[in-house]
Amino acid sequence: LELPDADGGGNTRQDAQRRVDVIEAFQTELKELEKAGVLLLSPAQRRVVEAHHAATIARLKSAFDVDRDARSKQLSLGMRVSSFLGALAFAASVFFLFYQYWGRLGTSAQVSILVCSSAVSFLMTVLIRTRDSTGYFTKLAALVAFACFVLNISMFGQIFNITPSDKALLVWGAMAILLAYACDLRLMLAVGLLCVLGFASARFGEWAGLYWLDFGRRPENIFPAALLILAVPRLMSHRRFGGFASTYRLIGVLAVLLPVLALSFWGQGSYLDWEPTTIEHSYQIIGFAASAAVIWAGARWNWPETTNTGVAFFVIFLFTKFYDWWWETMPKYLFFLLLGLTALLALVVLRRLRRSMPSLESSR
Amino acid sequence: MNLRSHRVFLVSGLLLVVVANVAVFLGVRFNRQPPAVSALLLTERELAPTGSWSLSQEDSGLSLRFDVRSLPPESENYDEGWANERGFVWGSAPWLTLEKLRSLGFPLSSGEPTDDDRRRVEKLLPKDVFVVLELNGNSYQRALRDAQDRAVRDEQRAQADPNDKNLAVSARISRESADAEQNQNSRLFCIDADLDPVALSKAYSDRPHYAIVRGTVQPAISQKSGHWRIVGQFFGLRIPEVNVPLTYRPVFGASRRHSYTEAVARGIGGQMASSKEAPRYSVMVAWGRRFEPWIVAASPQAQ
Repeated sequence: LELPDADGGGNTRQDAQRRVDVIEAFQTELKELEKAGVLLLSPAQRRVVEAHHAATIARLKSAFDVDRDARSKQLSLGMRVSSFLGALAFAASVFFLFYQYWGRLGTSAQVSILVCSSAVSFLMTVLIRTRDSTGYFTKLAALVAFACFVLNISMFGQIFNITPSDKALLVWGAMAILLAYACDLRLMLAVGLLCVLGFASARFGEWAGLYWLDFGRRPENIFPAALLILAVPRLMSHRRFGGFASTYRLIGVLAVLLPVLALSFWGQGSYLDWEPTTIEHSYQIIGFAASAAVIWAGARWNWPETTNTGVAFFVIFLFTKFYDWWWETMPKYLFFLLLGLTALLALVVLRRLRRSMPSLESSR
Repeated sequence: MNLRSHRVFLVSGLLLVVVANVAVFLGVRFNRQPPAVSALLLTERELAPTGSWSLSQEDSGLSLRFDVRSLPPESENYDEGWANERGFVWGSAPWLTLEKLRSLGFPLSSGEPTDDDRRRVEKLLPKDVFVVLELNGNSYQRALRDAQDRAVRDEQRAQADPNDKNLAVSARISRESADAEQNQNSRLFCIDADLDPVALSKAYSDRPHYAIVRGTVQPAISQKSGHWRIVGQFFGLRIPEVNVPLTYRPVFGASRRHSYTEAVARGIGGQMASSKEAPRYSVMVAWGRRFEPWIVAASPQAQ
């Protein structure tokens, strides 16, 4: 966990928000201490502290548009949801607008419109980025710019009857990641990582002799790219980008566990030249081990998103196995009782794990 | 974001847009450099208007889909194959023998196939290869001859027993099939495949009748009465559709706003001309150095 520096609030909006939350918590606790008579500040000291906090909050608010209180946080959440949905709607609108009219245009006009829409929407994003401290409008503009770029390349494929290529995923991924880092947008980072994951998996599939579009029919193609994505936050510091490291970890963990889950039911999809049932059983064991390792790593390094994903997949692996083993043979009350008992056992194990982990303060 | 990183962002983004578009244009230019690798004069029989399944109302574009057929192995045509439980596999082709599949890079054992071989074959995925398309050649003539023979045979059976209604229905269906084969069905057949397009070009040098394009093939299992065997399956073309530029739109309708929806309304899109009608348009399609197609010319055909 990165805490903001003493008076600056760190480099990201998340750091600044944490700093404001700490100030708010301090003020609440100070009132409690004063009420209990444990700590009494002189009026002069109080004025100095309050002035310092007010100045810090004002500066952070102007730089990062942080939320001052709980109500403000709720409104911010609404704005985030609204900006995400608006961005999706705008992107869809651009897509359908072109589809509605492209058949009535000559090839030169089609090409000009597509290239210009990519360039202009990108320039608009740059412009909005300089004027928007909140980030909501930037997110909206960035997603539209990305949609225009995707439309640009994919429509060229349709207009000129080009053989589908995995390289399109690479340039889309590059654009999404560029927008993510330049505008501090986790959503675009996730989109970019998915594109890069698709490209890398297609390449691995091609090296193994598959046509690239079939890479999904051998889920093992995704593993190398997933491991690379997981390695990025260990190799590159993301202190300046709030939540980026966790996005890498989340996409990486999902890209490992989802193919394992698929292969635990679909042995036919594996490269391994074994009986499908042997492959499925092997991947079921790997699924349990990998989810447990993810939970452990998440708890060890304090990565909540990793822990939660690991727990979710562990439960999915466990319940699907229970279903396979007992759904047909066991009375339903006993089946669900067993599920309940398992959930209890998981709670006990996780509680013990939480106790055994060193606290954040002691580990610092 | 400081001024320097702001500039880096701006330049990188625009550079990415420019580089991606230039790369696409260079690829298209390279593909269309004369002379074309292949060129075929197709009609509505081989190229039917199509529309995307979900956007037909919204999509104003028009694409034509190649209708490529694959002749089934001798006496294993579609109807008889199913009727006799011959283990008919869709797209199976007589020329896609085990030897041919091996030469295309599929790891198939040369001895008597075992159950392990079957498991391996079932796991194999389609391969991207070069295929030969034959227009109005021996394969089509054979399909036409088979359909006409079947029609004559069924009509003779129906005449021999005029009280049997089933025979009469079979005779009518067979005659309609033969008429459709004569006037309506595609005459474009996939007849060979190889990993080397140059070798195929040399083997099939009659340009008005053959085209070398990218397609996919795959081994499949054909099973009947508990016995199984490995057959070759032609899956389809890598680029199954060709876009119609605005210049050629009037050929497919008077209005420049002609779209898939309008094509359906006029009875062109999504359905062929009736079996007695002649095709309503002809389109010259070329395949370039990257084996990507484009329309070179299109004209309405006299009714």
